[in-house]
Amino acid sequence: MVLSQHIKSFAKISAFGTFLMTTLFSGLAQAEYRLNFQDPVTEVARDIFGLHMLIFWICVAIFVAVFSVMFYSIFAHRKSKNYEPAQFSHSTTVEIVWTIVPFIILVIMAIPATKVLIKMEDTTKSELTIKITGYQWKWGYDYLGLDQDISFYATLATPRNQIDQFDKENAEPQGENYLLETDNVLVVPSGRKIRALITANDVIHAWWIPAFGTKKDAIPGYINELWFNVDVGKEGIYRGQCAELCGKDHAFMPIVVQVVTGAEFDGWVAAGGSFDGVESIAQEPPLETPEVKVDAATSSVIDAIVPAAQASDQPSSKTWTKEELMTKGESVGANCLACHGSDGKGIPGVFPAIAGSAIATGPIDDHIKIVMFGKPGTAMAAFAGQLNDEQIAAVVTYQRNSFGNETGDVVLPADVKAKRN
Amino acid sequence: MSHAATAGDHGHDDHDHKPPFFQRWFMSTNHKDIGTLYLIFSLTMLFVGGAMALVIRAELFQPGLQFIDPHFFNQMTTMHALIMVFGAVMPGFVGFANWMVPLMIGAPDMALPRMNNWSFWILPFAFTILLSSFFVPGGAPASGWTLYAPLTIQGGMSVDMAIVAIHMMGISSIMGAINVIVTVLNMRAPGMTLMKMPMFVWTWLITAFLLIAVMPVFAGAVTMLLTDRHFGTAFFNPAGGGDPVLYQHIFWFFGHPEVYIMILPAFGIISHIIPTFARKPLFGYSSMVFATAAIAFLSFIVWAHHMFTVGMPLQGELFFMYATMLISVPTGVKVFNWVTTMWRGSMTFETPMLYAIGVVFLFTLGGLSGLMLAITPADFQYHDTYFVVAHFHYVLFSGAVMAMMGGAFFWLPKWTGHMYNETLGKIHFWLTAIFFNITFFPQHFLGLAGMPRRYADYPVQFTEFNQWSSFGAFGLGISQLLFVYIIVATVRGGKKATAEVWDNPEGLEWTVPSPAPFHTFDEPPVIR
Repeated sequence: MVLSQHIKSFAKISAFGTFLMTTLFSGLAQAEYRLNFQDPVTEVARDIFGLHMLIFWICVAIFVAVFSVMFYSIFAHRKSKNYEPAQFSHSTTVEIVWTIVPFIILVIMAIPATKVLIKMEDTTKSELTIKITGYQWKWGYDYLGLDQDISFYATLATPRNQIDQFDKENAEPQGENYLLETDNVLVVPSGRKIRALITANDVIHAWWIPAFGTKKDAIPGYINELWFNVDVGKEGIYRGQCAELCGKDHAFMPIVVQVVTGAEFDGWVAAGGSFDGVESIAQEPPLETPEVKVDAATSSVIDAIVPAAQASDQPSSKTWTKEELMTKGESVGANCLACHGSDGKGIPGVFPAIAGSAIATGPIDDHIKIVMFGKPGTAMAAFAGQLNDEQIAAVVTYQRNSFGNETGDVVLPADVKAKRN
Repeated sequence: MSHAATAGDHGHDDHDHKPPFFQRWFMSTNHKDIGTLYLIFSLTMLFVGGAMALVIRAELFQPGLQFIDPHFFNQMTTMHALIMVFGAVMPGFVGFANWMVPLMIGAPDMALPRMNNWSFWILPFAFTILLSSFFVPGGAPASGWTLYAPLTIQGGMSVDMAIVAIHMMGISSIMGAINVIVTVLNMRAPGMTLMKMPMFVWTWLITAFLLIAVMPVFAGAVTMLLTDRHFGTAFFNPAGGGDPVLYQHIFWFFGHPEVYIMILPAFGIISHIIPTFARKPLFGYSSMVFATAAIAFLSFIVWAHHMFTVGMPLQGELFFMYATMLISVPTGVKVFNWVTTMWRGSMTFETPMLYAIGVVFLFTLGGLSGLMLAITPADFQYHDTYFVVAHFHYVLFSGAVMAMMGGAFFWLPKWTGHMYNETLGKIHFWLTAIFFNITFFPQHFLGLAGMPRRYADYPVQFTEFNQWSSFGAFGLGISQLLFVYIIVATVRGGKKATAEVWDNPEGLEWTVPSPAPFHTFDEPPVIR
């Protein structure tokens, strides 16, 4: 009996081992893994790549030189070979040499590094300026100085059931661009020097596109700068991720940039941030969903990220029913669940519950206000600038009548509008 | 001459009377017992922190979230680092200092034995507070061990518990450092001038000064966080005119010397092991001392290389790049000295020597990736990726932790009076070294290919190397059980160790019997 138990547990362990090894090796066999930087598509990224490889080979050379000496010594100067130990303990000449020589090597490294750094930090003479704002957990983009305002948010577009693998029943396999896809993408032209002004709304984030050779922290209260100029002929989609720990969903706020030709970009701007009517792009299969323009028929997901500046232009004369608000609120409110939990119960101590909370079941005004203006010192952001009156009204209505909350309250866009000033 | 003191010790056998269990282990003022307590504490924390690392690696075995949610993942990375840095590495080296510094300088004990007791006994309470933060609402701190504002300001009450724990650890470290400095400067045996001191003592003396200089800075930073969180100040809150980057400057002014606090004593241990098994004096003793001092000085002027991406002015970036690159000169001197010490020696390869060679080899690898990180334009791409994770595990695990393991095997016969099992020791070395490399070498590739650190989940193209890394991590973790087994077996029995233990080793610690008597050097030895 004891033996059979042993055999059983042994079988379990070896099954796990087999699983482990097959996963490892089958993984490697079909691997598309990289060993080095992504292919650079800007001059600065190429310079950095060259610098990186230069230092790398110098380091390899030093490593090989030092450790060939050491391993030769380990091989030759061993007691088992009856090697008689020497008793020398210093040599001023050698010690001076191996202080000076590394110093010279450092100077050789520092010269090209300095040149590249000076180039990287020169943000002058840019042809387009984009403001990038980090939020927990999405990116906001504003094109500055164009004839018309173009601004939008970019949120992770990977479906939740690809991420959550806890529940194998509902889980789906990960797609090709898993965690590297967003609902909106930043559109930039190739062959133009683009300056980005980077800041954050809550905590520190970092905006990073490896192929551009750019990474800069997005810090609340600061406006950092970076620039890039993508080579003509390198149009396409480039992907990056947030590179500074920004809380729970740090891994879930990717950056997607679509590089188009200058002419296509101008067409995109003229159409108010849309590729409708831009010939060359429209013919290609859509790489992403570059739709930004507000359209009554767009899906509710797009609805959720419509910039307030555009959205508030919509007439709010419509009469909303509770059902309509509930439906809209559920889709808009999906973003709330990143923190407050899919069951609305949050994580006690850091992310308060919606279910049964004093806010969501108490006075309506407090609920609207916290959604609009946030709570300083916490991860609760102010959504007044990100959502329009209808969206806020819908979210508040939805939250007051779901997750077990049964207030029966209906909040109308006018209630929200009244608090805007 | 120094052997006369040993004979004197034998005449005082009545001094070897040890107090009863409770008095001995809870009220001890004996440097050896306190050293043992520190070492046991450090080993315990190595397993606690290691278990958290395994939770991290289990989650990262595949893309998607399989076991834990991202908030708990962030708690794991934060607590793993805090426990390894403040619970495993720093107390581990204090344990070595307690045991070895008095034995190496011919002193009967540490200069301030009661303070020594206190500085140890603060730690279990500090870590109880830190670890119990898992059970408060919101769980443990989740903002990374760097506790960057303003993310930390969002945290739950666990952040306050971590701040209290950090203050306690800081008090403990500062008292330990004062004790080392006072002991080394006042209690050396007659004739032992500063430039005759063993390297381990030198490195610890310099480390102690670093500790006194920077622990208060860290205490200041976390206190400012605390008042920002609860008392309406706005040091780091831009909405109140504060500056989030200020926190990073203060933190790294502590944090960079901190990494040398964790590696200098390791350099000291290596500088004892290599000459012993090469049967040849340490090459370039005085340049070793000056190189250590130079590293310590430079460690104060390079802090901002941890934060090149915050948007410093060009001049600042250039200064910190050049200063950081300079550190490789004295560090290189040390590596060259160790290799030259081996050169034309008569080497044998017992476990401590294997560890020492492993440390020199792997630490240098981590040092060279550090040199790459110093190059600012390239650092913009390496920063906050797995390349950095690989780099600091090469210097911290295969530097500091493996040096402690080597040191443990080296002095275990002196501590216990028994020889450890050499075959098992060698197996432990090879398991540790191989699994360590399987775990961390692929992380270089992950970082270069673009995987950011502190990610609970990752794009699918990073899967393969993450699987190697997780596989290696479990091997590395399980291998450490063998380490515990070897130590326990050696404490309980084994071949009797001689006073010298090794083949004609250098140093006063080898002139006292093995195990070292409860009281040593009642009368100071005289140095030739």
